[in-house]
Amino acid sequence: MSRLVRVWAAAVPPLAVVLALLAAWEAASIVSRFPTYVLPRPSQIARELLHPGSLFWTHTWITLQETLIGFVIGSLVGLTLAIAIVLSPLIRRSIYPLIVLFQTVPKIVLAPIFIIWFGYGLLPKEMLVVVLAFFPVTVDAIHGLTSMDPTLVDLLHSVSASRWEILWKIQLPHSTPHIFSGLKVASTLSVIGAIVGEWAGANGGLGFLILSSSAQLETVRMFSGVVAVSIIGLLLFYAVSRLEDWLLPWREKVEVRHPLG
Amino acid sequence: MSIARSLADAGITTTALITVDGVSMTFREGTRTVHALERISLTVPRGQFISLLGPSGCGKSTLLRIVGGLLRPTQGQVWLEGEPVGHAIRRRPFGFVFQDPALLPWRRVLANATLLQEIVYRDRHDRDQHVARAKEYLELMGLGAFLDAYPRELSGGMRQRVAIARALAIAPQILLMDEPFGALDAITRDRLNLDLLTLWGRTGVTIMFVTHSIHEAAFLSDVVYVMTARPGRVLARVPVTIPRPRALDVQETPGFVHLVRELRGLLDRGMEG
Ligand SMILES: Nc1ncnc2c1ncn2[C@@H]1O[C@H](COP(=O)(O)OP(=O)(O)O)[C@@H](O)[C@H]1O
Ligand SMILES: [Mg+2]
Repeated sequence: MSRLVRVWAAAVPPLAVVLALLAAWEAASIVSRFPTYVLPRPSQIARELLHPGSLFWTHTWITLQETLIGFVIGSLVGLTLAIAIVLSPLIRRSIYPLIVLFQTVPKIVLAPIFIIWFGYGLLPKEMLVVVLAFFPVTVDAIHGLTSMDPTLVDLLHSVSASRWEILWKIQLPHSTPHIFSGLKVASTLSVIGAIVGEWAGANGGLGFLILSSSAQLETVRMFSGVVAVSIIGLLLFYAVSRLEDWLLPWREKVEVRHPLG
Repeated sequence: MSIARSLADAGITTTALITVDGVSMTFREGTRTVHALERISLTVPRGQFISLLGPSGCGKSTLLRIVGGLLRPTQGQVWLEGEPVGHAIRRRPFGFVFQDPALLPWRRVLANATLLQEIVYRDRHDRDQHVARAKEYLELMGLGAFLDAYPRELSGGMRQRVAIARALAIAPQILLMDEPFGALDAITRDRLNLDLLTLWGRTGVTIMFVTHSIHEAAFLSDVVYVMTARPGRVLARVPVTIPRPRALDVQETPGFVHLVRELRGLLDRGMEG
């Protein structure tokens, strides 16, 4: 079976369920006569999304930038921290405990502070995304970098490999699957960070759109914002997964079968 | 049969390449101490195939790690032609093969076999030459058709063949093998034993081989050192006089059967302490 066919075969059942639910929703809204501001119909939401003159795409673009920039910077920060912690006992003893401690702070409370510090633009949102996204990358990368096969350690010592050779040839490639697990978690947190950052204060973006639509009982627009946020999250997660498949072709892919199937 | 080998068979040791001189090893972990090796002395003549035979936990791996410069003994010294082994390996590393082939799953077979060359020859890196040499050994090990395979696509025996090719690709004068075939089934193990002997004959490398299989030690070696259980001591040095080249059916000859009986007797004595 070709790849494309397989992807489609996997996508059809959930797609069918979604379509069925949407149809049921549409029918229920028409029959129940709920006012639109309580429960808009999927068709209305779709029209709002595709409506050419709406500001919708501007808002989407703002949130997308915050998410992507924050995600990339957060991932790089996370990876750098992990390497520093693994390479330097001093950093491991001094900074690592602080990072773990910092993780127990609910990061969302930082959003209003960042507004005061960094203004109203994209920067405070990106900072919040960075703060949310780096941690899972750091933790998973540290795990990958330090879980080395002891036989391999012996082998490399037997040829007097340098610290950098061990890092570059063995530890980093070995940790790539772990890093990607961290990146996937970070990708979903990034979208949350961008939206919450906008809720703390913004004049654009999907979080702003959702909040202001709610205040004005523009429920159709609000729902279209929710849909767009979900799509950004899904696409980012999918992009990270595809990058992983592309960069790590050597990985053993385990087909998970249903125990009774 | 080489002259050195005939002399060895006659019990005369020619130039010692490796000299293990009164090596003892004690591990300390908190208050617990493990006395792993006690006053081990032995010599490995150039070009010979030496085995260390002993029960599990008697310190074979520890001794091999000390010989290979991976571990410093608490007492004694290992010499390589009069030079402390720690210095010698920095100029020219030994080859190592462990029970776990420890291949890199993200590298294909050929790239796995060049790994150690990249490190050993970092200052005079010549990619074409490294690839050519790795290829040569992989082909000798019967892996010519699998150069582009990933390790996960190989059987256990094939992975161990890659590990051997990788070790030999740095042209070591000494190959240290720690139960390299211990995890393999008997049929695969026989094949690898045969191929190892062929390779040894072609390269002239000196081999120190750790095993807890009496048959394997007897089949492969010029000399078998039998070790006792904790603390590990050398109980006996048993020269193997079975002529080479050896085929698998040599194991049915009276000489071989006799040797196996002798080694087993020694091992039993060593277990009683
Ligand atoms: N790094 C270590 N720290 C503490 N004890 C060790 C260490 N390495 C080996 N030992 C102990 O030394 C003894 C010999 O181990 P080993 O050399 O692995 O034996 P063998 O290879 O013959 O099975 C064992 O009792 C083992 O527990
Ligand atoms: Mg061992």
